[in-house]
Amino acid sequence: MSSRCSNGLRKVQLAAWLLGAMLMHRSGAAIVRHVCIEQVNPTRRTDIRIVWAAVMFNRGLDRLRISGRLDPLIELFKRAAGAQSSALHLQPAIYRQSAVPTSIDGDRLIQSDAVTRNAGNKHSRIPPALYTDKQAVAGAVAYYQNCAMCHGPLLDGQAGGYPGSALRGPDFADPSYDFRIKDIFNLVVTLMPAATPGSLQPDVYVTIMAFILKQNGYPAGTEDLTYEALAKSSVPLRFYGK
Amino acid sequence: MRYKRNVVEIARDLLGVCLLVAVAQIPVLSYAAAAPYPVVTNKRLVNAQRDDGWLMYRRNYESTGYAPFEGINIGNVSQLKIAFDHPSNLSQGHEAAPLVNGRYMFVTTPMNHLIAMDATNGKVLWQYDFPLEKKALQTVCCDVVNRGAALYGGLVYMGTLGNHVVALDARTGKVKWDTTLAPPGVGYFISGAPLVVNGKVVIGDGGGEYGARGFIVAMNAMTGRVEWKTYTTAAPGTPGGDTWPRGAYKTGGGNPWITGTYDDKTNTLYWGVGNPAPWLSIMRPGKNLYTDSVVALNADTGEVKWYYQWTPTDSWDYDGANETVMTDLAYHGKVYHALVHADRNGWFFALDRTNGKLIYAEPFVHVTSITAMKDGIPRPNPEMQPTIDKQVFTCPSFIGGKNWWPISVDPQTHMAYIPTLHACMDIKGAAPVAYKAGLYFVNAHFELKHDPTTDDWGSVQALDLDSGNQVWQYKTHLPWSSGTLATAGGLIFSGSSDGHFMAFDAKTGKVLWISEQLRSGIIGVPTTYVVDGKQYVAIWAGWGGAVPMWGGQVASDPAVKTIPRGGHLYVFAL
Repeated sequence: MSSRCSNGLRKVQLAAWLLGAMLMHRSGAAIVRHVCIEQVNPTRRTDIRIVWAAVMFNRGLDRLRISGRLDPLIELFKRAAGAQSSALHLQPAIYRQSAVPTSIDGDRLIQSDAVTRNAGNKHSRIPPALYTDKQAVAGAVAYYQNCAMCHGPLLDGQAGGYPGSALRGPDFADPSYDFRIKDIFNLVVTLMPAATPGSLQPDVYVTIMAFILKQNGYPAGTEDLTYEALAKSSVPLRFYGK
Repeated sequence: MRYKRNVVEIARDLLGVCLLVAVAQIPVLSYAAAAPYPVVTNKRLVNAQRDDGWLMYRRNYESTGYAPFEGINIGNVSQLKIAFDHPSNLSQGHEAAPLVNGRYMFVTTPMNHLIAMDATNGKVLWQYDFPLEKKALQTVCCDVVNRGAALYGGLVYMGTLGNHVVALDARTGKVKWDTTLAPPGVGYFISGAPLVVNGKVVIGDGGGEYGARGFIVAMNAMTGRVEWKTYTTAAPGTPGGDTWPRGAYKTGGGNPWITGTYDDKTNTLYWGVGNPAPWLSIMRPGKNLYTDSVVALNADTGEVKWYYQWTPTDSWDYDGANETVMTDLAYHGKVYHALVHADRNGWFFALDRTNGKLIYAEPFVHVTSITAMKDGIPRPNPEMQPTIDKQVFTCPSFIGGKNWWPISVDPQTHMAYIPTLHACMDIKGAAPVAYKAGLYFVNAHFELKHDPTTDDWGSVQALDLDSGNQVWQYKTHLPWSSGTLATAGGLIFSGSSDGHFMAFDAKTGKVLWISEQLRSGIIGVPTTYVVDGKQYVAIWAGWGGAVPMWGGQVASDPAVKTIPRGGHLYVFAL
């Protein structure tokens, strides 16, 4: 991870909180999209927050662009930069979004343990602890790098404006499907990421699965989740969140 | 109404010049909202080719995508400008063909919104957002797209991702009926435009990647009552029922998800049928009828008259649902009433539509999976059959030499115009997994790769209908995923993936006009219409669909990744 990348991220983190700053850090935005999200060291919680800030920044940017409000906003900066056309207008919308959530809450996804503890009264059994917190943290970054472009940073898929299906919630884990963890895991390792199926390292798939389990309300435990265990796990996949 | 218009005109005078632009649209709007809605009769649909509007997905029952308008032509197309535009505020792929009846335009968007607007200025008359079941979205493989509406009487029809067909009052958007064809989220979805034939709304489902069993349904256009339903995988005891291993037809895919074609002379529907599931043919030995085929159906009963299978023993997802186009052609001196079709498998087929026999087939891209025709039947190359232990590199890719992007057929040039993807793939079987409703039923690893014979992903090409030989080709580094529109003005319209709507000389392929860069890449279907003697051309911009999701090296190409998103309808005029 280069220091330049890191700087870009910090600029964008700032911009996510201060909308005005967005206009001044066009290059920072470009770095985030093209480099940083793919190069973040997936072990530190602070890194996830930065990635999250970048993702939310991009969502906001896309929302402005899709609604046609971006061009007028950046007109002055375009002229100052001598650009013929709006560079931002042409930015990739890798983290595209038409409806942003009501608040930018980086902790909502990565600290969902509190939610899972309340799930017991909705289901007869408390979900088993299948993975470690460290795996879920690594999985969060891997998810943003490899999955969020289709399934959305909130894992809400098409309902959130993305082309892929939701990976979280009562519809994804609808009991009528009777999905087992192995069903989803074997599908993911065979067909995902859709553009380059099977291209991730086995342990990366494991951490992404840990992250998905966490988002569906499964608590972290003390034992590492393994590829072999996932591939044959008959544990029902249900949604234990709110 | 007269009173209303007078008031508006007085108001305009009072408000003065500074508000002229805004106010000038009000009288037009009040006129359009009050304009009588021209009833879409069976006769008008049969004669849709001569209509000033654009009454169905491919303009006419022959599915030619050819309009007889000359207002915009080779001589003046360079003057084409944006007449009006309309953002959808949706970020997914926009694939729909705008329909026009009189002054009313009907467009659909991703997530099943339907918008009625004034076809001359884009003023929204009403918008209907179908209340999609969230669960429906769990089994939509290739973006939440919709390809357009259909018209009949005073109603407008749309199929939904949750397998409803809804009929709305064309003037108000009020729901007249809502028929559910399958439960949501179990594999089925509807993305194609309906086709209205003899007072019936005909539509097919999607879902082959989930093992959903394909069907075509005809509903009473006034009531929504199902009049017939034909499954497109053959059950035991019916013709073709012995072409499946025991029970496999139930989860065998074969989804007719693209709008069909209708021959009113013989009352025959021609409908393409999708790929078998799971992908590897060794898992389901046999011809697996009617997957990867075109079926000719009696439009009154849905009975199969004949079929032709484009890809026997398909292991490559060469879904055969691509549209067929009716045209007459001469081959080796003999004239045929033909059906032409550019297949995912990379071959351009001409069939005798009276009996389903092959007239000729020619590859239009680099092909290695199917390398020959013998006795009128495509012959897959056994070397290119992947198995669980064997990976092959073969062409074209699973997305196909052409995907759903419709071709057009121009009777003046006697050519077919094909949006083309030049790509190959690595493909290998995966460990067999039992069918489970709601899950992918594919059992294969695959990755789209560059075609080693070209550096370009996309092209628009013109083929001579009498031979299938290429006449011209316009190549682009980016993939080309927009349908084509041919007009009597000597023009071919289509849109590039980086957001330029373009006009080509139909005879030579010379680029005659390129629009300014629109807000997003184009995967839409262009249509054209005339109101008050003025010709318009309409297209959705709005990158998305299957290519950026499943497209392997093309999806990973930086030039493709940087294509901006966001739906935006553009209508051009002189």
